[in-house]
Amino acid sequence: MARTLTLPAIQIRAPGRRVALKNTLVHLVLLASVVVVLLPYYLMISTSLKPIQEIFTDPFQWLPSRLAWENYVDAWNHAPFGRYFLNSTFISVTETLGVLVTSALAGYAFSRMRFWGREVFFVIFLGTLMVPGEVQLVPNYITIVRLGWLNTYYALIIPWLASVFGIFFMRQFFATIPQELQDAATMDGASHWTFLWRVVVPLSKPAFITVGLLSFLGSWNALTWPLIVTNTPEMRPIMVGLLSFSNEWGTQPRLLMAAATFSVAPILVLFFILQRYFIQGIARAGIKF
Amino acid sequence: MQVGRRGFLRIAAAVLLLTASLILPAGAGGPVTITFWHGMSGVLNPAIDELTNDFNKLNPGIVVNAQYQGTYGTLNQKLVAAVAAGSPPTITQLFPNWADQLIQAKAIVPMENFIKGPDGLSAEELSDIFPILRQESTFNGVMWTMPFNKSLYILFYNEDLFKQNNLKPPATWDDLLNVSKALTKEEGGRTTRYGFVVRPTTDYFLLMLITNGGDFLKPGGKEVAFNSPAGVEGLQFLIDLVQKQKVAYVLNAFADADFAAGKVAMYFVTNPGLAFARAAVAGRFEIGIAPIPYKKSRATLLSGTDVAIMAKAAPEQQAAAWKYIKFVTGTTATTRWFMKTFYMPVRRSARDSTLARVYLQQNPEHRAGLDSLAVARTAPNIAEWQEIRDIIQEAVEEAVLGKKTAKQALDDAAVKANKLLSQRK
Amino acid sequence: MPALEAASGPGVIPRVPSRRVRRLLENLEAYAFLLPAIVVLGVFHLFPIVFAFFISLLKWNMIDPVRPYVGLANYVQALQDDKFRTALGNTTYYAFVSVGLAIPLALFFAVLLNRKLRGMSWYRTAFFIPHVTSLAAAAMVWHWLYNPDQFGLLNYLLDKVGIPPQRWLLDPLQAMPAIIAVSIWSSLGRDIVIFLAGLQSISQDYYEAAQIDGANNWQLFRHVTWPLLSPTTYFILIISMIGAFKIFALPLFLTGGGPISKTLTIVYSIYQQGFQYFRMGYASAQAYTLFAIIFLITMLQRRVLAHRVHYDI
Repeated sequence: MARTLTLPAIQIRAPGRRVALKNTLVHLVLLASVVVVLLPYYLMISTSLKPIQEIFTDPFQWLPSRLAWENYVDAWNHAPFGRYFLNSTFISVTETLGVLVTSALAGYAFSRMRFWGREVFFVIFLGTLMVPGEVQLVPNYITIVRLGWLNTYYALIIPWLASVFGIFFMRQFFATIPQELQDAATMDGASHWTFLWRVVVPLSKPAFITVGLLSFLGSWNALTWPLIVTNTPEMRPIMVGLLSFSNEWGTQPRLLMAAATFSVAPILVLFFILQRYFIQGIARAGIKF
Repeated sequence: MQVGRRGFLRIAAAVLLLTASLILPAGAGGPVTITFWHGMSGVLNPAIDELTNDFNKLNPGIVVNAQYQGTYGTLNQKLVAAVAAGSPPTITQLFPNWADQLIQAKAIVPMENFIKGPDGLSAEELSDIFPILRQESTFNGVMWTMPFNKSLYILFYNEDLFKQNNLKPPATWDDLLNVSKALTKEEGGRTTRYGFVVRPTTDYFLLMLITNGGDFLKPGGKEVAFNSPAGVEGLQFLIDLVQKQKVAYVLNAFADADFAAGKVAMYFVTNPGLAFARAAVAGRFEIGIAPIPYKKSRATLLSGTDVAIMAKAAPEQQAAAWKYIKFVTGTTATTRWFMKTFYMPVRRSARDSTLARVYLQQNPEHRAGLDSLAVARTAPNIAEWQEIRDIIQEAVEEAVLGKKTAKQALDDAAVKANKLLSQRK
Repeated sequence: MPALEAASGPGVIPRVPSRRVRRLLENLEAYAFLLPAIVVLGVFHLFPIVFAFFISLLKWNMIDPVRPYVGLANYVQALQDDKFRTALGNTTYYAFVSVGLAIPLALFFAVLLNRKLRGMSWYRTAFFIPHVTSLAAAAMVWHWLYNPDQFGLLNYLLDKVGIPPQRWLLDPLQAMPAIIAVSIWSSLGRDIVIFLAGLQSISQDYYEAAQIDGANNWQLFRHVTWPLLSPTTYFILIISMIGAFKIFALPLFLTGGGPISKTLTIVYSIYQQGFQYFRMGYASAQAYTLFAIIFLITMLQRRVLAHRVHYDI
């Protein structure tokens, strides 16, 4: 059936009252939903600022009578949170840098170099994505113990210095670089190395930001592996630190909520600043597959 | 400055020697350094540090590093990993069932070697250690570990509340029921205070089991005996307190917070719990201590850890470790330990010492715990017991929550436990 | 880009290496690029997959020097083990309910947010915040929210509508649904964002054409949006299912696997067997079983759903 591409009358019609009502409804639904979604954050912050006698009240008290900042001081002092943050920052930054470098290198090789076994290697790498990480928990733990790396930064960082997702993502992105650019660079005598770092990387900022952010987020929020390879407070990243904190001080919500607040704050701040990239990154990750 | 060839060689040699002396382990002249891994947190940590510092001062040739490894669960994980990696500490704190595992793996040295050795304990000194404690350290007739911080279960009660209501601490199960009834208070349709609290834990159940004449294992040790009629009756008693008489409630957490808040009048706990209870109560009322109420036989459950010397340690380190262990389990040290941490003193002479007597006069509440030592029972010190405890725990939970009858829950648990036992080498 | 003068300068005879040598060098260079990734992934991701399988064939208690080969005994034991079966059941229940609720919900909100109204990006941000919040912190807050006494916020709100306080995480029947709620809350933002991207990638032409044909909103959705969104839906379905079967952090933080193992999941069981009881062989067998399950489910999804996915030409 042939269709003409004239704009139908429907679209020119200005939004009438029915549409306006619908929009209001949509706003209401969304607003109500957001209130529900953000309710835990309200609880977290309000409890963290309540003096101890206002926490276990019947009925529930919505707002503290005064801002009990001492909860934050107490929580901070009850466990080495400074150390936890330091660990998490060091681990996450190192891992992210590592992933970016290894992913760029490998992604470049897969997309712009020809070598024997390219497809084979790629399929093998991709295959590891199918396997749940839990399969590797026990053998990796044994490896770490045998290397004497238990409870060290080596154990926390080295296994995660490369990421198949990162490699795949970079490869997809690098593949879109026009061949002409590479040919021109080759004629100018540039090596692959030079081409990668001088041309490809600057052109791939979105990919780097995406992989970097997702990698950082994954590393910061990691739990299972850090849980089993760390045993002392000195080595714990923030997630594991929070777990042990909640085991010890579970009876004091004011402390728990304060700890939760200052643990979550850095990532939330980072998120608000880099919102656009976070969301674009997740969206791209979904679309690329 | 010109350094000629000879001069250079001399300097190089000096640097090499200096470096070597720093890196290479101390020879016959240097102190022997040993590590002691423990899981004592809170107020216990400085207490063990104090003891350790005293020992180090008295023994200039030995340096003991007491290292807190986290909760006992973490300590166990670290220990196993360290043994597997070949880098364990010199001394470790451990529960009897961990010891069994380590013995099978040949990872620890029998304490008996040192007790009977040249620097050991005389027969008197050995028998001075409470027999029940020695029993928990003995595997197949050989004493492998040394009791260190041992505790047992007692009843804490709100002394002020009892005095107000003219009540005496309960001696029997019936007393427990009656006192709970008297102290349970209702206001406006809701219960504001319970007489007792039931924590659905293995220990709460085991206490009822042994005070009713029950046993952990059948003679021969191949099958469990906790699902005997005595055990079922004990579990049912707890359930009834909650469901039928409604004088107790179920709590899945430590009870000291509720106790301090006046929500419950009594609870079962081990001696070191006194420190936590006192912190929570903060002087609002007096905390009374009484033995566990019994039905058929007075009894209480022994708890706490021992210490062991690891096999991987060098001979001189092992010898130093023994010296340290002798010290911290000596009469003076164990008396001080008792007064500071409320763990039981491990020696009779410590309990009967002047220091202890004076302390008890000023703090008579501790008598109940010390007296209970005479009727303390030890759970089986086999490696499988840890997992059997978890099995019992789940059974208790199921019964308390009403998912299964007490008999059903315990019988099912017995089947699982027996299966574990049958796999025992 | 600096020109390569030396090659064409006077007096310089460029030495061109033979083709074979050049090929070899290129290969070596490529391998050099791959080396860091290969080392890390090889040691910690590929090798363990094989190693884990061998471990699963042994009876290995971490410190015991004796590690007998027991063939498939661990697998047989796992399938007969009450606790593991419970974990299997719990995890399946969790996976199907949480994914079954999360996806329609995310789609619903994505469709709403796709309208060109003011403030949409604020809503989207709000939904997304839980996704960047670490599960540890989130669990701590939800644990407090779910407080079983009258002090909990949730019970307080229920009281306002006349419902008595619930035990939530302590109730055998409510514990898993409670965890499912937290899980949906946590991943909703991510799913919404992916759906949004998928929705926005549908060309307006289709909508215009359908509207010309007189389609109403529901028909638009059913005949334009839904089919063209199917690659995205399929993608979210797969990754959500895989992720759901690996659930561990939430039960660890919120319930400790209880009450009475009602929230014990497969990974939790692996963790217990491997890192609390140190049964390395048994834990590995359970892990491989998980792998098999995930593989099966993914293949099943492919078989059933792949042909329904419409790809944009």
